[in-house]
Amino acid sequence: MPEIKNVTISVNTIDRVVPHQKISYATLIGMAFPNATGANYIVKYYKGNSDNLTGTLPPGGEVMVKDGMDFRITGTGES
Amino acid sequence: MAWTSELQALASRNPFIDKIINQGYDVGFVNAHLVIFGVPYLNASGELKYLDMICPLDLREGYSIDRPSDHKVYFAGEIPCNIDGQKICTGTAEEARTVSDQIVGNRMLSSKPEGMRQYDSIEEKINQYLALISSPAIHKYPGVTPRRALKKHLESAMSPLKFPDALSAREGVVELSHKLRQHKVAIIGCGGTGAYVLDYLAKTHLEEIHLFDDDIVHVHTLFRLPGVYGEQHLGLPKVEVLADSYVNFHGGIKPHVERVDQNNMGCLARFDFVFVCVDDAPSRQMIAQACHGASVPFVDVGMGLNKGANGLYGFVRTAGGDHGDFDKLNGTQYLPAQNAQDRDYRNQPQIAELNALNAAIAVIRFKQHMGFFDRLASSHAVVFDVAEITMDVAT
Repeated sequence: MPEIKNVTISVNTIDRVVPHQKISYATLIGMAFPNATGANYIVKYYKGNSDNLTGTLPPGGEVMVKDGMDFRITGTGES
Repeated sequence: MAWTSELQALASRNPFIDKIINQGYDVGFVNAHLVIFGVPYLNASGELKYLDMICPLDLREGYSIDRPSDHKVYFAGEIPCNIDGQKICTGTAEEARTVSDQIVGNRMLSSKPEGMRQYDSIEEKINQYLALISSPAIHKYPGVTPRRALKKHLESAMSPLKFPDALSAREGVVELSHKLRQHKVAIIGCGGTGAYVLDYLAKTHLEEIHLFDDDIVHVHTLFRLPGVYGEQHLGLPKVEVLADSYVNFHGGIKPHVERVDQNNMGCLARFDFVFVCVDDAPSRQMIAQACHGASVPFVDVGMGLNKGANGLYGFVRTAGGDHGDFDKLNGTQYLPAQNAQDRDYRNQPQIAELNALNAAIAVIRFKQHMGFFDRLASSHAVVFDVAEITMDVAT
């Protein structure tokens, strides 16, 4: 059983060291905003894996991380 | 006046004639005379009267108008006066002028341009007489206009718009613009995005545009409204400030200084379309649900911006637009139902150009629903990524 390596990703422009595996919507919004739960945030990622460079991660979804991957997360309730 | 081929030829050769026709003056070209119908004036007792101003034209070949060889105009009626009852500063005499069987003048006016010289152009002459004759009446009677064609058009068009829709006519999209006629819409929430939605809708043929918001104008609000508002608006209800400003363009704007909640939710069923521009997630959820229940299509807008080391980034979201979209949006990130937990200690910035963009996408979706714009996508949400300048759609 090989040990899982760590990679550095950027979550809302802050570097985070995470295991090199899939990361969930819930984990990401919790990193971006303390105590954030639910399905109220839009999560987009950039510089992902070559077969999935960029996209939107839906609530309940997960995506494989890559070193240098960039996540941007905000609510969209202001008008 | 009927749009004769002669008048058309005159307008095509003389930009000034084209200009006054486009400005809504009721212009005739009859037996080599230019006639401007329905110019308001005051008689000696200060009563409002109208005259048809007759101006002989010096025509060259091909309908080109030469420099006027005299400085007189003619009309039928009383002597035009200023608000003090004194006649306007022109020479006047009884002098018959027959243009046609229907158009006969009985009086001449004579006013030379400053410096007692000859008029340089027909434009200078007409503008001077229009100002002399009609300014006192316009000053004394609000709403009086020398542009009779504009008035006639509006009376016959049955449109809430205060101007004839010359844009649609020019672009050849009248039948598309008219698809919005007789429809009633509501804008719920008149912050930055709601105000820009109004800015776009006020220039359409919608019969009624209802505004709902119980908030007042603050100084920071002034930075997120289209156009320029100032100190006199501070502390007044947003919906009233907007309605007062846009009533000059659209006669069907109805302000309601109230928040849409459980108590008045029933009114949503009266509308053909609802723009949800609120900044409170529980309200958004409630209003979207109510629209859905009443089978009223809606669009919901919202943005979220964060501050990073290189400036602001984030998303501008526009959701809905068609019947049945609520089922696809409900419970997803495209219809936030709970306020962000971090709102208490963190300001979420909003910037006017993103309010405007959000409003523009919302209005485009509405006009697609109305059949004004074509629609190929079947998406129920559109997300603009500010940092990336891309649009993603959710299907």
